[in-house]
Amino acid sequence: MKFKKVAAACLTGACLVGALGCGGGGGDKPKADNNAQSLKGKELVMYVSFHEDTAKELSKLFKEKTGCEVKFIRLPTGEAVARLQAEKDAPKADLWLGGTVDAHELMKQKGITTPYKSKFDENLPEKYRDKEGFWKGTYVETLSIGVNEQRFEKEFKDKGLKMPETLEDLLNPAYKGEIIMPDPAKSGTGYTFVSSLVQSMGEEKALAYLKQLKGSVAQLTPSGFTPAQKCGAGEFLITVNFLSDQTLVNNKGQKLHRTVFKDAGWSLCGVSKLKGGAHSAEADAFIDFMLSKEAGDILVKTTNGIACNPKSAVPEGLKPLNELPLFDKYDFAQAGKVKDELLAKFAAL
Amino acid sequence: MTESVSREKSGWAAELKVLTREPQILLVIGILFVLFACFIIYPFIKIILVPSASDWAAAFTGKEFYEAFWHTMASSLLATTSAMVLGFMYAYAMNYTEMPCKRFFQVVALLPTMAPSVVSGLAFIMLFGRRGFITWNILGLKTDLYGWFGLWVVQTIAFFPLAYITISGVLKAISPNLELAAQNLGARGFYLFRTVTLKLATPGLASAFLLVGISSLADFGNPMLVGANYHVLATEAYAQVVGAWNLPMGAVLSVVLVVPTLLVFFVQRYYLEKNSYVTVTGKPVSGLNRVTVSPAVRWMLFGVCLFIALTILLIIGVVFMFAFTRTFGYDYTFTMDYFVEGVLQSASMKNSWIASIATAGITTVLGILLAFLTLRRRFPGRAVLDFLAMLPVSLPGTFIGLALIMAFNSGVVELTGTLTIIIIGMTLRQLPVGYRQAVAGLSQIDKSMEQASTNLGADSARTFFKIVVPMLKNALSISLVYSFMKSMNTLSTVIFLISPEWNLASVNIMSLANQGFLTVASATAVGMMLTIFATFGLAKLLLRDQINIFDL
Amino acid sequence: MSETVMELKHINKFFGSTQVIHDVNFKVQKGDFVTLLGPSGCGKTTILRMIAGFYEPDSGEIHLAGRQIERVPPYARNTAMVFQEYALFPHMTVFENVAYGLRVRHTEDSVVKKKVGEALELMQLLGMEDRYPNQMSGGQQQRVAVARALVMQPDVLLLDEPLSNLDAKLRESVRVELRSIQQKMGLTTIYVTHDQQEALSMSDSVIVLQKGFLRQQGKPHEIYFAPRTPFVADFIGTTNLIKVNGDDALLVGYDEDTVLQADAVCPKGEHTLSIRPESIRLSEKPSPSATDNIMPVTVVRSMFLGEKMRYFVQDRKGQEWIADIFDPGRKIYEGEVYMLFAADRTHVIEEDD
Repeated sequence: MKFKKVAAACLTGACLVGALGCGGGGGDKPKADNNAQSLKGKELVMYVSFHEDTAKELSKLFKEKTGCEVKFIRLPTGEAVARLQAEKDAPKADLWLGGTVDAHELMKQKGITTPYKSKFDENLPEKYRDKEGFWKGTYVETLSIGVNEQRFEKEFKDKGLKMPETLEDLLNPAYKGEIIMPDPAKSGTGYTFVSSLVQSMGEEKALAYLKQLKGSVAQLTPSGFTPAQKCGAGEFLITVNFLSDQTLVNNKGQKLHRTVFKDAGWSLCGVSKLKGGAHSAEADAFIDFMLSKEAGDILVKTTNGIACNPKSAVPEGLKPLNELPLFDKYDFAQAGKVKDELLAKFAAL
Repeated sequence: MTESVSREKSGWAAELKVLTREPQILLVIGILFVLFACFIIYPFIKIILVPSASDWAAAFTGKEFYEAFWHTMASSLLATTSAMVLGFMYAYAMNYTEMPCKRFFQVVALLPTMAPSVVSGLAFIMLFGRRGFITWNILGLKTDLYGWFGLWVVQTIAFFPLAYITISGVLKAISPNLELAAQNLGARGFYLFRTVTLKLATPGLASAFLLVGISSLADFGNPMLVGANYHVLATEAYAQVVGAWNLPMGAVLSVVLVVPTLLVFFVQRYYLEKNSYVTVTGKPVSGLNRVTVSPAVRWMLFGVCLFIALTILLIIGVVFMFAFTRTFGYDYTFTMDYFVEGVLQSASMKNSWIASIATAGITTVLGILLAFLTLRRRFPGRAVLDFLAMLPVSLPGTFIGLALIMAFNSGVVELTGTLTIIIIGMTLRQLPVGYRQAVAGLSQIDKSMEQASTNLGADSARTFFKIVVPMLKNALSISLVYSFMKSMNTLSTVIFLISPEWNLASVNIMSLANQGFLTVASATAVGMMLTIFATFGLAKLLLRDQINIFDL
Repeated sequence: MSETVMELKHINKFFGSTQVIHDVNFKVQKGDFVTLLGPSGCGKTTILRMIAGFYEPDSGEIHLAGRQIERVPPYARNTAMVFQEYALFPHMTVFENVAYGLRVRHTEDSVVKKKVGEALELMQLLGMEDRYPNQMSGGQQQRVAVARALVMQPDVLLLDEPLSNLDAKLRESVRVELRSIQQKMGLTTIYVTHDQQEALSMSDSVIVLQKGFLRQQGKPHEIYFAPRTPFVADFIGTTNLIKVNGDDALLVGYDEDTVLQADAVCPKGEHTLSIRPESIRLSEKPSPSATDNIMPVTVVRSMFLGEKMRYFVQDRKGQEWIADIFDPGRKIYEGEVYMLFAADRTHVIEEDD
């Protein structure tokens, strides 16, 4: 695991591979203010795998609500995983916030995290939290097809093409050499795409589709974020990557037409309580807070992800989670298990 | 005879015995060995031991591996050849002809060294990319130059300055007397060039070729930026580590990359240098006029130089334009936004500066110390010290970075994510430069200076600081300036060493460019150039020396 | 008067497996000017550097001013040296160069000023304190180098061919000056040169070295007139070396009908005599005398050298001799002549090479 730590350390600065740190989504409005027992003078230490500003805003609001001081160290997912394991017997933090759920699942299996049943659990749909209470989801990243609107209008509309919104549309020869997406071998985003396709379509069909698609793809990038930016800049017409990245580019002024396609793959960022942390009650309170609508709003605002708490605001121009055609049965554990095998098959296409 | 001896007391025991009379020296040598053991040998062993047999097997059975290996060899051979050809023509024109604007050409050729080499890739995308200013906005072409071709062009531009500087050194070191003698014997024109100039330059050129070759084999930024689906070993190693969290595989790829570079290093060090008529870092011999070429050749060379110089200016120009207009090509409104975002609001420029200044200082001091010891003292392991000090020249930056994090990510000395490890990486990378400068400087100083000092009662330490260091001032400032500049611009060495707290400007330029934020990347590159110039100005004021960065 | 201030005992030195100094022994008296003389490669500079401490002897002892110093680091020996290329520190002024050694000793500023001033005055360098070495002529640089050494009041002053970079005229005047300063200060000095003129004119004692062996130590006139080996005889000045057969007598046999009288009893067996060209006179008639050796010779050629005429003559045995005739006037000898030389100038060389 040392390696992951190292890998992650490199990654942070470079931010070449996007979408690693997953943001946490909010919960329901905590039944709420009655739990705002005063934690004044208390403190909470957490490892955070969100971006800095997300972490700052969350801690600020938590302090306002409870009076509890929050100290956090920002670590990318891989580094956090490595550090948590190294400190297993004497954790220096109480909570791990952010990071993809497969990593939280791993921590659960290694006995590093501890379950916490919150009275606000109900705020989240069941699929966004661990049944045994080890981790809760915070926000969801979903795959989407992004199209550079300006270029489409100018160059493709005249040819009688309609805005590409489905996976089948991407196979149209007109788009050959105009599609950019992350490399499944190097980017989590890219792998989510491939593995969710395999799980939803069945391997044979999915690989046949991917083979065809690969012929049209101009570039497979190592970073999950790059395709959105390059598509926004007009270098490429179509990108397939996470919606939040596309939204970020879109909101900066380079309009991207974004469609969450049918059975789109997704990824979830979580929060877990660490076993043996010094501030147990404070950690519980923070998890409660993460289930609240306000916390979800912050996540939405700072990450463009979709909060797991259905009551939190939805990023501008998007639909709430339950209305998105996501591939609900996506199995993270399964995806992880067959990764090497699947990547080899993809490479051979 | 009081004791019977039949030969000089030599060998390590005798040398050590002499050293014990100078404990300071012994201590310094000891410290240097410990440092080298910790920061070169240990990481080296570590990175080789990390991958298991199955990792090696996995690498050698994968088709990607062979592809990346082949790509690496092919692209660097192409780029090195073309950069050498252009560099030779340019250097020949500068040293053998009288042409207008020579000073201008000399300065322009060195401008690209002020910025990270990825800037040429960045500019290439902005000018000739799918939405390039020239290809799209002006010519309306739908081109896609990502891949080997684009990489070739970009690396040629990126390595041109290095080729030019090295070849220029080689040509300057050829004694004009030999050419005059050949002329006196009736040789002229191309015959003279072929039989004398080129012949004398050949070993030096071969050396230069290998030097540029090592750099291009290990190049990281441009393949990342422009190579796209054309993967090379350096980028694959990075993607394996950072993208796939597969550190052992990254290590395998890095170690594989070291094989050709080390080979080149040994050829250069143990074969070419010994067979060279001139040294690569040779100094001009005298002010004698070189033989001149025919007007036709002169104007042809002028054309080549002009083309290269304009290309370089175009690159720098487009970087400035992208940095300071809202959307170059569409919206020409002047804006400082990108500069503010990329330079003023970002801590990375400050970080780069701190790390580079520290590196420059350490490298220079270490270089002089090492040169002093290896040239002027006899001690066991002197050859080893000399070898280790030069070795990093051949190590790809990604290899150094990866080896360091593997060695120091846990255990007693945990350095991952700190400023220290960045400085260590940069120092390793620049050490050969500082060492070489100091060796060259020290070789020109007669030994008797130091003997005079000891003879007058000064011990080694005093002699070193009062006599050696001041006399090496020139070599010292060149080494300071050069390693500062290189450290600011280095990308491959630090890519694995940075952390959220210690992000660096060169990495920012690359990752911004790679993600398509061309404007902010450009602004950061501009900030980088300005910072380097400002620092040179400052150094000139402080050191009050006559160093001209364009004479490097 | 003599008090031994320095002594080298059984010094051996190797470079690799080549022995460059062979069991060298000598003593230096206090206040003496001792010259190490020999052709290049004879080991004279090596010995000087061993005294200074830049090399270590592989065996043997060096004693200086009551200390055994061969293992003492150079900076703790007090053996100030003037280097062949002067080795002035280019980044320091004249004053700082001369003051350097004193500063190393943490000498008080006022004392430094005074001593440097004295040294500069002695070397006639006053007014040049603030110049840098590269702003001075070779002769001036040389004076600075000497001043820098003198100011240290060393136990022994070491000079490594300090005059070799000066032109011939200047060299002669500096020679005189250097010797007078040395005598005035009573400074024990070791001087290295390959120039026998320099050695003879300046020294109290000359040590002749050849291929790492000490061949002879003695006063200049001893070295000149009583060389102990053919090499010494030949290296110092010009001489005629001839093979003779000794018979434990003053008379030695040269050929079947010539017997020469030597300056000392020549032991039995083949030996070498040294006869200086200037000791030879030529005459057209035989004019025998009890103190002269006489031999008929043929003039082969002659050479006009200004103050003297040099003749190359051949005796009956075929041996070629050189004879120098001073103040020759217009007289030129030709053909068959007689060669005369005094018995006390017919020196028997004790050893063979």
